[in-house]
Amino acid sequence: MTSLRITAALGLALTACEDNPSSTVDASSDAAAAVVDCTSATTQIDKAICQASGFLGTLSSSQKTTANPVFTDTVSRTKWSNLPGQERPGARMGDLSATQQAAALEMMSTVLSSDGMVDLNGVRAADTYLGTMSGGGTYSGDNYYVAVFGTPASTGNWAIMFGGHHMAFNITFVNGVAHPIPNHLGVEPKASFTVGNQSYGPMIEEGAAVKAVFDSLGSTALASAKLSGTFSDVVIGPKEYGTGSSAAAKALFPTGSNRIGVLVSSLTTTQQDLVTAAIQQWVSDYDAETAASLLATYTSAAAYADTLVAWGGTGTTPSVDVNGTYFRIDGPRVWIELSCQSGVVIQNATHYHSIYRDKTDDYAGTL
Amino acid sequence: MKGLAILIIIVLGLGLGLARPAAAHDVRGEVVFLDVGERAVAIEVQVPILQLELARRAPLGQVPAATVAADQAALRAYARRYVGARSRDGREFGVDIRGVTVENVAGHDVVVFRGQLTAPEGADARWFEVRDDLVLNEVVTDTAYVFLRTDLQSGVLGEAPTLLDYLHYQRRSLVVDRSPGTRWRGFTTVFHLGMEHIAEGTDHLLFLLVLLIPAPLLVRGGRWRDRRAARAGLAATARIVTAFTIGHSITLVIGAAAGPVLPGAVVETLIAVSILVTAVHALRPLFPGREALIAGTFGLVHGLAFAITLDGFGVDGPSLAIGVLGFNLGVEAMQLIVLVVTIPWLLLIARHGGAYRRVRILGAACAGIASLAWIAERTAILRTPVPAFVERMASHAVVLLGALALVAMVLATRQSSHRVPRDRPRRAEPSGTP
Repeated sequence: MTSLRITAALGLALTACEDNPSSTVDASSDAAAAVVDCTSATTQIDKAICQASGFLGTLSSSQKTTANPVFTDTVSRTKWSNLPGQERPGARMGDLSATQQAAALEMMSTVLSSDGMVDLNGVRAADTYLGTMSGGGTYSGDNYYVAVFGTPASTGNWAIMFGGHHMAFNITFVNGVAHPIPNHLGVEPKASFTVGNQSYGPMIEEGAAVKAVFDSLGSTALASAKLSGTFSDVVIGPKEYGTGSSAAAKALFPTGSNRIGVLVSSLTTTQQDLVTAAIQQWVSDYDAETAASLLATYTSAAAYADTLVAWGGTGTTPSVDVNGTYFRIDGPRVWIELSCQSGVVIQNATHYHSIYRDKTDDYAGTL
Repeated sequence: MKGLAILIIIVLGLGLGLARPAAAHDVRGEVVFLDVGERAVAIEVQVPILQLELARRAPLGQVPAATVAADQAALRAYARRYVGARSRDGREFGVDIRGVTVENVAGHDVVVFRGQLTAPEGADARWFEVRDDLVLNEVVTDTAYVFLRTDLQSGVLGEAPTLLDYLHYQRRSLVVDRSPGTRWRGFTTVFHLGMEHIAEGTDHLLFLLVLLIPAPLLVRGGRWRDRRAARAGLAATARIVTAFTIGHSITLVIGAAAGPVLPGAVVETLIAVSILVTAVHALRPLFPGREALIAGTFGLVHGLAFAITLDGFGVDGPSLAIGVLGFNLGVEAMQLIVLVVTIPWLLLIARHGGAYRRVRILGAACAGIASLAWIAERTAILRTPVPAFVERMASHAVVLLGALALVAMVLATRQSSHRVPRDRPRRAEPSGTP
């Protein structure tokens, strides 16, 4: 804690040189004090704008060039990936001071819900964990990148990207509305693990919720919900990486008779509730307003009349512990995939990759 | 030796075993390269090991190269099923899978399938619909990136493959339309390539020039002493150049059609040796009267080097023909230009025995030193700054030519009392006429 106070004090000394009246650091209290004071913001969008601007305000001008690209830099906006070591836009968390990191995380905790922050912190911790298990290399919670595209404002377009290995939060703001897709979350290990005396399990609930859907299907339904072929990952991962357009991903959504699975509206209410609970695991990572709106769209009766659940893999019942097992929720808009693959560092267990996309609203339709 | 080999395989196997799970995380796609000819398309598919294992539901083990070598027939049959092309009227191309190997590309081990797709009768390979289901037949999450690597008739020579598009589980084939290309475009492209190749081929040009230095001279008493008649000198030059041209044309055709005959490093070393031999010959006649024969013989070696440049162009008969013809004509054209601007000055200087002797010795000595340095470098014995220096000099060839011309003109305007009289009584020594 002492080192944190010293760094915070240094941070104060540095930020005192910045022209940013809303940045305050109370060096005498512990790290719970806010770096950026947004108490005057009342609406969700105002808070997001305040936090994002506040975070940018903690940066030097050279840091800002990296961390604040223009919104029209479409190529960079598509540079998200599940892989470690890929080129990503933004400032690397490990290169930021404690104050700047705190400001970044405050920004994220405004646009994400507490569930979302559990996932964010958990996946970062998992990378630190993999680092210790594999002797370092590219695995570290420091290798996560934060970027704010454009100028945060209640009109016009801007975006936040936060990501690294097994994580991509891409939130595009259009006229004050947050569009949090596409989103990637993955984790190895998928079971709980400990880092620094704290226990994490960021995707345990996601996996359980999806598993519950398919556990509730009888053998006939499971058979008709089975996709043919082998799945070595999610289907629509970062296929548009570096292309500046969502076309490469859009081409991969199945259409018409290629959409296989069990229709959600044909399921019992209990089973439909399980599907809703599964969708919620991804959608509820975002602020309450955004999440509620999206969830309503995805789970309406009309939507469920065109939403399929499907799985792939070996055997007649899917198991999350078998390499190659794959799950999908395929709606008119919602697209959620969960794939289970052999571990890379921890080799005797499967690990998760997941994707949450919106067929008509990825990147708020701006790419 | 065998024990050592086994030990190495075990160690490599362990290393691969530890390294491969990391590859399991990086699920990359396939890469497809197309070399488009007129009647056929050469196709090369690089498949990440994991993807092939998943598609065939058959592991490749700890030493994939060994498994692939042992399973050649099965893998070729597998590829024949899943790789193919269709013509515009919907008929299938003939598929000939020529080999399956394991190679390391950009730090990753991949299985490489190489084959030839031949257009059916009455159709050509300028428009086709190619498909690669090697992995996509089973693995839904695969992507295959299709690149155009060579297309002579469009002037694409393979240095910078361009991404055409990619295949995925919902798009299993791709239309490739190269119909705007023409044979003439292909010809002019390789013609320019041939000209460039020789213009930058310092060693080829040096060989030829040094071989031609003694052309205006005659041997007497085992040394270069006398001067030939101007016409005889020109005739000798023409014979030598023709013989060199015939020599390199032969091996250019053979090498382009049959593939590399000798390893590139060996060919380059032999070329340097050829320069050394001609340099010595220019100092002391080694083979007086047989320059044309020597030019032709060494020409065979130089032709092999040219053939290496054309590797990959001979997708089919017409492409090979255009490639070889165009390239060779380009080489000859540039060769002719170099000779036309150089030889007249040499012939002029040759009228002045003393001056020409100095030019001959200087030229031969420089060529000799360069060739020794090249031999040392190309056999990895010794690296010297000489080759780099030679290349720098060559880039200032115009200056050197100007100096040569200046010497010739100065000598021509001077009343020289050192001219060796043309008509000397013939002796019993062998004459210099080849």
